[in-house]
Amino acid sequence: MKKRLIGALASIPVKKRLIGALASIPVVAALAASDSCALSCPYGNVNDPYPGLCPRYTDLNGDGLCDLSQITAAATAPTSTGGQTTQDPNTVSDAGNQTHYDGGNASATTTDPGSGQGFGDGYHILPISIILIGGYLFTHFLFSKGILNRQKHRRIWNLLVTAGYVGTGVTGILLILMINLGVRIVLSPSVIYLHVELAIVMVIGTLIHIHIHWKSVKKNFKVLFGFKSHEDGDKKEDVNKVKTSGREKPPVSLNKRLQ
Amino acid sequence: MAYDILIPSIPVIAGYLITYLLYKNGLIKKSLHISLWNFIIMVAFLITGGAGFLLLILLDMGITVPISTPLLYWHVEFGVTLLLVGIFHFHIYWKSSRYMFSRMKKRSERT
Repeated sequence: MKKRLIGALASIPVKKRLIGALASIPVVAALAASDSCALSCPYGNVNDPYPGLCPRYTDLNGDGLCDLSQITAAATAPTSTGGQTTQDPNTVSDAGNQTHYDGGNASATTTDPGSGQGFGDGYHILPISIILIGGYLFTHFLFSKGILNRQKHRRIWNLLVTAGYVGTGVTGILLILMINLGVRIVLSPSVIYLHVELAIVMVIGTLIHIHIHWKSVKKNFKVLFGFKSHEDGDKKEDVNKVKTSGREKPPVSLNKRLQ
Repeated sequence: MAYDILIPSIPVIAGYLITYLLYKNGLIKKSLHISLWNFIIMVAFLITGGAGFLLLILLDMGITVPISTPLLYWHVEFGVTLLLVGIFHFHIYWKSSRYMFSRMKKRSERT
């Protein structure tokens, strides 16, 4: 059984195996991207006030601060008595070291969990990747069947990668300016959310772009580092085989190909 | 934490101008100029994308590691580089880019 499995795997060409492995990356990423184990601020923010510096802003206790940025908030269950919030005395509180806290101005309007999360509950790595890869396979199929023009096929994906790139760039610059200038606006989480979603489009689009222009990519490496592709190596080996098999000169077609 | 925009921008712009002038004066081949900047955009993309991807996973899993902050910093700095080199990429492939947009323009004019 094991031998059969190994034999079956060995029969798959290396190129296909590599493509299969690469195609599984978004799946693994999406599986890894789980909300289940979020306990503290991943950016290390302390007492992050509304609307929060990142799209994961959550305020279940309604104190106007992100629960994840409150070191004990996620671990303890605060009890409210007469408008005052008290924490479990057995847990270690880091409140003395927190500098941003402005308890008196805690907003009561931020009690909706996930209200600062932009347009959705999380980032859509898997759906976007599947849609884009599916779309690319579809247009590639149409192109290979002659239904879609090569130019159109390329233009569609070039436009998509451009849109992703411009969107990511603009939102990124906006975020840098907001952080550098210390500006906090209600739209900040939405900008971060858009930045991430467009970046996913850009990354998948770029990988498709590289696949479409694979020949040029190989040529670039050849020009810069003098690398030779596998195909060239195989052709040379073929010529050597022909030479050693008795012929003095390789066939004209092979010579032409090498040139 | 404040991010630097000029520190990654100046060397990239200067480098591009230098290689462009060298190519224009015939000191280096066009293919070398193009290959060099395609390689740079690829490196910038890999670092920015890789760091962004790691940050996304760390963010979603709620893991705080000591490298999170420097990783975000370098993600931003290389992102700025990627943005600039992307503009140069458009400049290098301006003819095909123009063609890509001109078709859209023609279509909108027709409608």
